[in-house]
Amino acid sequence: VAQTLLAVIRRIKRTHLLSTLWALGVLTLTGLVVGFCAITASSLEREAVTRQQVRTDEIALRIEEKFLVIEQIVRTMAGLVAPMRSREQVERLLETVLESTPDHFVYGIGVWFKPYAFSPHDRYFGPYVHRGDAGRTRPVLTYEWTTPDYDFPHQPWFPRGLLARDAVAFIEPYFDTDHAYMSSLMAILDDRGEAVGVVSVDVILPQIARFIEDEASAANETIHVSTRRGALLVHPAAAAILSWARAHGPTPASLLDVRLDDLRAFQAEQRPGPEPLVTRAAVSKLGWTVAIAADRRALFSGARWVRWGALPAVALLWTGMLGLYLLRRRARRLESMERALEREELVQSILRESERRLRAILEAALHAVVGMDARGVIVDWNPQAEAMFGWPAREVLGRPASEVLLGERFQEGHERGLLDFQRSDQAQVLNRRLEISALRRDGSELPIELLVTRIQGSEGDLFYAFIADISERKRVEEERAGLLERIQQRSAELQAILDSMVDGVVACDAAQRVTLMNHAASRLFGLAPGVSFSLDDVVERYRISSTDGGLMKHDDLPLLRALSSGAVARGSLVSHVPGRVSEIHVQSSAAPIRDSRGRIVAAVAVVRDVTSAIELEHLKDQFLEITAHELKTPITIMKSYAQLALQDGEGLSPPLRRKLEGINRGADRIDQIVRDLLDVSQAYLGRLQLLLTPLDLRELLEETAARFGRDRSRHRVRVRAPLPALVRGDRRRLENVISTLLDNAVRYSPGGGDVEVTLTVERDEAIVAVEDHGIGIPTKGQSRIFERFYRAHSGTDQDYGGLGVGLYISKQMVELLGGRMWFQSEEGGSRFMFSLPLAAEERPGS
Amino acid sequence: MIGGSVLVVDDNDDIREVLGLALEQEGYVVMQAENGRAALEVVARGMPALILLDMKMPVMNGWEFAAELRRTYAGSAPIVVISAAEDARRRAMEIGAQGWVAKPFELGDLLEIVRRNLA
Repeated sequence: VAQTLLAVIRRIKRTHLLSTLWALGVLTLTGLVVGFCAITASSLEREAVTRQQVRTDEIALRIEEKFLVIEQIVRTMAGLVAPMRSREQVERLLETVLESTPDHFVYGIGVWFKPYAFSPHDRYFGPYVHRGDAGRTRPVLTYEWTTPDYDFPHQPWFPRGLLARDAVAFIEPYFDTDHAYMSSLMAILDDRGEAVGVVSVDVILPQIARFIEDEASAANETIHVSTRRGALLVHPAAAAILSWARAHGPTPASLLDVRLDDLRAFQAEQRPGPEPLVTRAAVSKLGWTVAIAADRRALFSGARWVRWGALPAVALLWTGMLGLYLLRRRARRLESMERALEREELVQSILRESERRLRAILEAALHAVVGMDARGVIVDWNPQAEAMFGWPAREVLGRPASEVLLGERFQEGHERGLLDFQRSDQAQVLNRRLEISALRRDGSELPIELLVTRIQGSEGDLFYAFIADISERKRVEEERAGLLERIQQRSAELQAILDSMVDGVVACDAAQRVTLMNHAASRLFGLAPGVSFSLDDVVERYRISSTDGGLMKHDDLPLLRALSSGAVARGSLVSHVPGRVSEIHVQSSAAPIRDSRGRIVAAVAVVRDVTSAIELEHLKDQFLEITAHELKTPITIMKSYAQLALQDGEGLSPPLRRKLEGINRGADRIDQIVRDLLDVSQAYLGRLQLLLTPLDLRELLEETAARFGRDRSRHRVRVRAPLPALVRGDRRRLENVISTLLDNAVRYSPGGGDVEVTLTVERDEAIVAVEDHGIGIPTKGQSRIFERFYRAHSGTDQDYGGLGVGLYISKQMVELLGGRMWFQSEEGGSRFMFSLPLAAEERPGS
Repeated sequence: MIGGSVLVVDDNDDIREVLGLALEQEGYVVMQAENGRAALEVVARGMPALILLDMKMPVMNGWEFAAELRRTYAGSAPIVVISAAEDARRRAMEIGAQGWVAKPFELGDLLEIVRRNLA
């Protein structure tokens, strides 16, 4: 629930929340004001009531005060009169006392003695002094008892007065003769303490009414006094009440005959409405009650104003709050309007600035720039446009752009309306590069490129065309097209040449994509002409291997080596073309192709099918091998018979022995030729067999040279080998190598002379040199000297025979042992050298 | 005269003849066979002291013969391989021969090997 409440609160916008708080605040304030007013009003009411009560009490007190005075008068009178026995004395006292009292205070004072109590002569003595009627200021002395009707000892008040010995007795008012009296009585005591008479001080009701008249101030209240028995003593509306009472019952003698009940009935009749508020106070000495009856409305008028005064206050409050709220809203609206105005001004100034900048840019632009409104009317024409089209700005501004730029030619064409942006499909025109032909002022045509863009201006959209002169570009394009055509023609020619070639030609670009392949190449790879060819898996697909076996690495293909190394690359490859039974042998020579900056951009390879040549070569070697093998048996037979015959010993004649020995030598010679031939074929097929042992090259050289020298007389072999040189090799084969070199040296030195054999050690290899001083090797034959069956002197005067395989086998042998063989030759001698790696323990430093 | 029988196994008649002559001259008893099968028949009649064996022969070659001989006879005669092939030595080792001679050989070298193996 709390969460839902929170969500609701959150959903209420902040401004709503503020408004709600505002309203709550005002409501609270309203409650406070109303409460305050109510409290104030009721306290005011209470105060009014209290004030009225106080006044009532005051009136009661004042009445009581007057009767205190009267009481004093009565006591004084009773005291003074008691010893007096002269009529004149009493009469003077009465008159003096009455005159000394305020005239409205006391009406009359009387001294009444019991019969014969004052003097034995007089039955009654009861002088009475009272105020005269209106206009008479002198007190009037009467002797009421002289009236036959008035027999004072028999009046009810007299015995009551006799009883008042210690305290003054205030008796119930009564009507007597002409007035309603209120008498205060006290007994006159003689010297024996016996009550002999009564002193009375009388107040008539109008006098009492005057006490109160002084007090009654407000119009809406009435003050009345009632006696203990409920008789009305004083009322301001006494006359009206009396006349009302006369109309409603027995005629009253005075107000005393009007009871309080009657008063209430009278009042109810006189003034219908709410019960008046009555406060009462007792005059305890007399048993009277003073009452003030006030009209509640009048009494509480102040409080009512306060109570109802809350209303205008609240109204004022609400009006004020509402006013404030409205004022604030208005201020806010004004503020936002002001802000909007400011922003609008800012936007305007930015737009103006933007336009100014745009203009500056247009003036400085490389392009011709033409500004147009939505209908295509020219509004801007920069200096570049002036230069490009020959129109000064003042002559074109205000004219339609299509008319100026396109002329009349396009009025009906598809460009019609191109530059009228209200009519054209803007997506077709805006922000697209359009190439069109425009007109200059002089009528010449100008190919241009046009880019139209829309610019939001302060007074609607503008359209700006950025125009470039593309005549130069057009010319270059045409030139290029011509060149391209020629290139294509040349290319076709080249393709024709390539396709008529016997050798395959394959070219690829730097990314190893095949870009060219002639017919011969397609045939070689078993493809139909024009079928695409990929180098990616060519090794696997064609199982390309090098001649010594083993699948070739992709990057070792001559074409790719040329591409990566930048040098001409050659290689002999063996391949199984899918669909062909036997493998093919190819020789490939590849060269890189560089661009004008020397970067390798492509490579081209010429591929020659040498399968038939290779097969022939193999056939030859196999033939050689078989022949050599087959020759061994007859040689063995020849040698064996010759040697068997020679074993006969003494039985042989010397000539026969020489003949047999000749047969044996001839067989040996044949054997040597057979061995050489076998070695050649074995070497070529890579099947030479070696028996490796450690050997000292110096010892081998010396031995071989010594044996060689034994059979020669015209040549001297000199060995210079200062140090031993330990190598690993096949002793018999190395012997053959050395023999071959010595043999050649001797053979091509027909004039005789020294043959020098030297052994040197350089770093980690031993180098053997055999030098003669013979005829040398012809220059043209030098490059082929190590080829098999090549004989440099073949068919010349210096052709001394031989198979032409000795150097070939020797070089193969040396290389098989990890060495090299090379030579220097000129007329007057040759120098053949070979090196062999020293055995590990022989190397210096190891 | 030094005694001992030598069996010459070779498909070439001239080789057999010249070796026979040479060995007989040295005092050996020489038996001949033109292939492995014939040689086994000779051996069946009596084990020679030494066998000179060519490897490449029709009907039964040297390898088959040597294998059969070893299988049939415990403690058979020593064999010396006579071969025209370049790798006569390897062949001799293959069949467990006591010696080898490459064709063409010096007669003296051959007789020396025979003598040594019969000593």
